[in-house]
Amino acid sequence: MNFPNIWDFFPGLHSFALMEPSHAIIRILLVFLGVFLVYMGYKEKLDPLLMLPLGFTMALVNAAILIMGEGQLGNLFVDPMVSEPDKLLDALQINFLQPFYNFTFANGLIACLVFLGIGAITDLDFFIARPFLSLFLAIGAELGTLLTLPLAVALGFDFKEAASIAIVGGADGPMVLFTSLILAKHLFVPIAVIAYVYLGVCYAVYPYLIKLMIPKKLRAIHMDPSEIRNVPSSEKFAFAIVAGVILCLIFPVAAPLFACFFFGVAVKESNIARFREFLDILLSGATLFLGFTLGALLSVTVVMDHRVFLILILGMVALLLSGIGGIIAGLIACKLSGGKINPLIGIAAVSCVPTTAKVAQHCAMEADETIMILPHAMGPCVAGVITTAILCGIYVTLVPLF
Amino acid sequence: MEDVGTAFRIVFLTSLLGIVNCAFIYVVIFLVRWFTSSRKGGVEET
Repeated sequence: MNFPNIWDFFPGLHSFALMEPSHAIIRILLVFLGVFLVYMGYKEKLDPLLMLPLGFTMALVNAAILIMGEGQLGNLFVDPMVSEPDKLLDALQINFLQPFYNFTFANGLIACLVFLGIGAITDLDFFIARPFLSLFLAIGAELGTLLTLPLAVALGFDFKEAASIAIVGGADGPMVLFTSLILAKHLFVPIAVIAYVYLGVCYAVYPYLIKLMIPKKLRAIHMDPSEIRNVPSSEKFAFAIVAGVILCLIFPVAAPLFACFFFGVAVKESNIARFREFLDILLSGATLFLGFTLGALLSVTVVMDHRVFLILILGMVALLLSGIGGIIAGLIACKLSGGKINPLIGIAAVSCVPTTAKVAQHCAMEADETIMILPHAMGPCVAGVITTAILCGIYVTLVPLF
Repeated sequence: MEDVGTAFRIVFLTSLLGIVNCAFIYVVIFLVRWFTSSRKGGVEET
């Protein structure tokens, strides 16, 4: 009678012995990083809505590697690389997140659902009351989205890959997912994962950039919320329909995103309570499963792709440049208005709704506890979503022509 | 390897198209504001 090998009782531990030492070390580091992200989310130092599910599954998926069929190492969460129909069918039945990944993540549906929910919580008041200021700040905050493209090309990426990476500078997760799915599907997983991790981190990093670039005296400029024109719901509703139709006409490739965002806005302004409650729950569910799936994708095999390091650097550069662009636009607006506009609302134009608006408010309150600039900051924040969507539409339309 | 000069051309075209589209949005906002304010007082808002 042959006794089984002792390692057969501990397949997870046995998989360490079967890996290259460098992969094994990275795998352990990823487990600890996942635990660290969960802790940071729990303490609300990073966005908990994303970091809790992402960090959790990241730690667990790297712990749960085992020997699959044909002696390959893998996990029972998700295999993003499987594409042959018969292997995909097997994966759909075995990997518990595979159906969710293939039917909502890999086809962009989850991006559209998140965008639907974002539209339903977006307040258009300041954007419609001060459209020129909001759009000016938003264009400044797209500096990273624009300048990262030639930088990525210089580092060896082709135009489509470079555009997919550059969209990270728009600081909008659904847009990043959508663009990389259309232009560079083979880089979809690392780009999406890096973009969302960075978006969670920017809440912690942008305040340092702000303190470096904006003097305390300017951060303490008061802006009175009562100065914002009261925009009736009918006007916001009409804008949602008209702008949605026009943008879909100009950029039909990006129509699913525009449709979802503006429909969410229309639902909010139409005040249909049942739809609003449903979209609220939908946003929470989509965000939870998005974080869960992203964490499951952060396994050692994805991280060890040699281009991930370059994408890590470029993503960081893109978000940094966008932050710098937004702050410069805010400082210009402050100067041209004779000191009436707080330049902090420029950082809100980096469209991570509503994170960057909250960053602006938080930094303003550090300078003066009585300041309330959040309503004003939401205008460029919303404008940032629209300008990023426009740039996404331009990239997916224009870049394939070159 | 792709040409960086062409990449900058893409960026230039993107910036131009982006500004034009933002101008479109700006015009839409004003048209909507004009249309909804011209209907005020005539139709009860729900």
